[in-house]
Amino acid sequence: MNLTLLLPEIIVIVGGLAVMLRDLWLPADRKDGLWAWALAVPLIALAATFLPQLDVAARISVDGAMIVNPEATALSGSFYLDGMSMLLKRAFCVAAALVILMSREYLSELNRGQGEFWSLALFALSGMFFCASANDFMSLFVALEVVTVSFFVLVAFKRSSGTSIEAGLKLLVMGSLSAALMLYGIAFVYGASGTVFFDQVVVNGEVTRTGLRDLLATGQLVYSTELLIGVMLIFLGLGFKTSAVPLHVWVPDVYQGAPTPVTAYLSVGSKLAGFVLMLRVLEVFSRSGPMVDSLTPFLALVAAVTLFYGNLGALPQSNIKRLLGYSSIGQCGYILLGIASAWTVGISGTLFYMTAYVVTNLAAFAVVILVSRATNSHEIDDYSGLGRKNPLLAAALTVALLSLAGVPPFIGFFGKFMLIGSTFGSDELRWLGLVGMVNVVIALYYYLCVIKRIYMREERHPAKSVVPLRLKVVLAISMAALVIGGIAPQFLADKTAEIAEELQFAPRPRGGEHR
Amino acid sequence: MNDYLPVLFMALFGVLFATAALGVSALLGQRGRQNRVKNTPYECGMPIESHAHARFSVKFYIVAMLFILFDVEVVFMYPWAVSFGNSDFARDAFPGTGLLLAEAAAFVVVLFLGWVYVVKKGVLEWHQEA
Amino acid sequence: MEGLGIQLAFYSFAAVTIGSALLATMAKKIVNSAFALMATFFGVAGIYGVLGSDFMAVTQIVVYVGGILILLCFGMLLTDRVPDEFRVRSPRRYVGASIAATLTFVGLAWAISGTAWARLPHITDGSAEALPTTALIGNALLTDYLLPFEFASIVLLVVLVGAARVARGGTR
Repeated sequence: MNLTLLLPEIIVIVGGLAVMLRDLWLPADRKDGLWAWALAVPLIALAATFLPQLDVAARISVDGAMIVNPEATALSGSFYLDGMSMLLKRAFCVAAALVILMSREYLSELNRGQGEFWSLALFALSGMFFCASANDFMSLFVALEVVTVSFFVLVAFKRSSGTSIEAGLKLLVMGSLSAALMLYGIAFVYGASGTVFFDQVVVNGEVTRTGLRDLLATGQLVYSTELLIGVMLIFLGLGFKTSAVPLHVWVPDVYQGAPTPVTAYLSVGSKLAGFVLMLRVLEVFSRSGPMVDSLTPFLALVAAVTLFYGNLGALPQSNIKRLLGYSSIGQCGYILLGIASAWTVGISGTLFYMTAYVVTNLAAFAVVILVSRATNSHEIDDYSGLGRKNPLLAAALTVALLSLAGVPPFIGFFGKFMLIGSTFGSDELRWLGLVGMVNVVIALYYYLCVIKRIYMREERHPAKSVVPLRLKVVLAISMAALVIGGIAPQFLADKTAEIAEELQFAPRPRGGEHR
Repeated sequence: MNDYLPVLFMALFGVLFATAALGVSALLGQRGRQNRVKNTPYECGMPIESHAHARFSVKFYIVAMLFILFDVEVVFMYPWAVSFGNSDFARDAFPGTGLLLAEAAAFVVVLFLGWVYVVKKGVLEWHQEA
Repeated sequence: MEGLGIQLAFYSFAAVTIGSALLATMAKKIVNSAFALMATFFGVAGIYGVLGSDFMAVTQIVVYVGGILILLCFGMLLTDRVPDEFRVRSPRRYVGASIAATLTFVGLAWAISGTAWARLPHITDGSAEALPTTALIGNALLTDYLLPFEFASIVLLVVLVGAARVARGGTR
């Protein structure tokens, strides 16, 4: 059973239930105590991820081949704890803690519904945890649905606001469509292979349950068109979560309409959950050479179109949340670029970028929340003069935007460097690297527009916004992290390289063979 | 396959019976005279003031939604119950009766807590304090 | 699948499903659309039955027809003034949609028919019988699929909390 591996998940689920129940017995005017409980949960889970019991080798060598270590799996192989899932779980904890920290201000406006908000955020976190550790398609789907459904409610949380409910409805329609697409893809894969599990179960030397990794590695599962269609449909379904191009249309409206802390959580947590699942599925299917050959141009095309759509779409925006929405579509494009060129460098660049993206985006959204509390608006025009009025917020937003743009001293630069560099490793994807570089330039324009407005223009609103101490600390720490990460990225880069090695993606053809 | 024939016959019979009941009464009964005034809703003989389609309260919808959720829980319980009662499966070393019970208990407890939430929040309260 | 009876059953249920699905999308009155959807659900349940999946057929009827369709009917009743008719304004939409649907169908049909689908061994050697599946599903849920089974309770809980939140929002 090996349930100790699930300790972080159990902590989060029990925490979510505890918050939900505590809310029922608190009188209406004393709900603020829930916030502390809600904040404690991801922090405790983060601490739990560092326990030695969870530090198990993800792969072991058996008869000369590297296979998934049974000690690292739990619940009949449905739960797999490897380096990638550990890294992402820690990132999710940090994201959840920051979001809960940021939404404290916001919720004092909604004095009813606090219990639901915190518990739903925690259940979404538990879903993200299971996404990071999914080892078969059923767990993948259920975990993804927990995340998606939690966000349906969180986005529509502000019932008095028409845009919030409309955003929730848009997310609902697109989320259901993409879930249907993904299930159809899973059905195709099941039909082609006869199993939804990624790993086989061997009892006394006899295979009692087959698994996709093993079927593909031994060649029993032959590449065929409907296997390809199945995998493509699964990617499309996951593409909704990650805001990749065919299914990105919900992003600007939902980001704008949802309450800002929820937008922040959505842009970081839900997106990364989708990406980790993409990486997992790609890793399973990378054992089939023809599949890799067919998927790479598809992924490259999606990455390129997503990049252009996101960056070009952000240019005319006047609302900061919409701009950040389009910008996050562009960021998704970069990460897809890394996935398409899934050499070891590509994957480690992807993981690096994903981790850096958490802090960067959340810092930007924290500033958005604080400014909107002071000015009651999300228009970029109202950010004029922020540099003079509140230097800390202005500096934090500037650092975050520059890091997103990929400007050198910040961590975003190194991430983009790794990603675009990885595309130059293979001949057929060089054009994608060029696309990436062109988009860096395009993105720089709109990020700089916002920064210019912060520093160069005269302020419109004389009122000074009060920033609570805890948020000052958070912003300062995140700025420091972005700078230090940019100057000395080795720690994170080495870690992600190690994880990428462990994941054993098949190398892209350069005329070479597949492992 | 032959096991399903009774089901099919029963379904067909049900449909046939309903159709026959309606059809025979339509054929053999008198055709009522229809004119516009006669078809308006009855309001004690006065000219109608409100639209016939009165607006329902959202409470019905919530009750139906909660019904579905707990219905799905019951649907999950059926196969568990069959497995639990199946002596071969339950007595194996793995999973064993205790574990089977624990698994179902975890499932039910989570939804029980959801029910506690619903009751405490007064979601199913029919009568609202004005 | 052998047997004329099974083929007949399959095609008739498939016809019911597809026909009522078409009716549901093209009906002018929303009530007609909802009842056509009910017929679609029954058709799907019939297809599950033909495939030998008795538990799924019953679950389909209990949950979908007995739950979701009722929910849909309540949803219709909740709207203030139901427009008795809503038409698709331009027939051009039908044309575009039909082309897209046909292309999708042709593509999928070609891919599906050209494939060597995996056959479970007890089907290929002819020893399969239509067993009651409830016990099999139960065994699978409690061993191989334990994680989705347990986590599904969290899904249901999230939906519960969310529904209570979005659909009412009282003063507590």
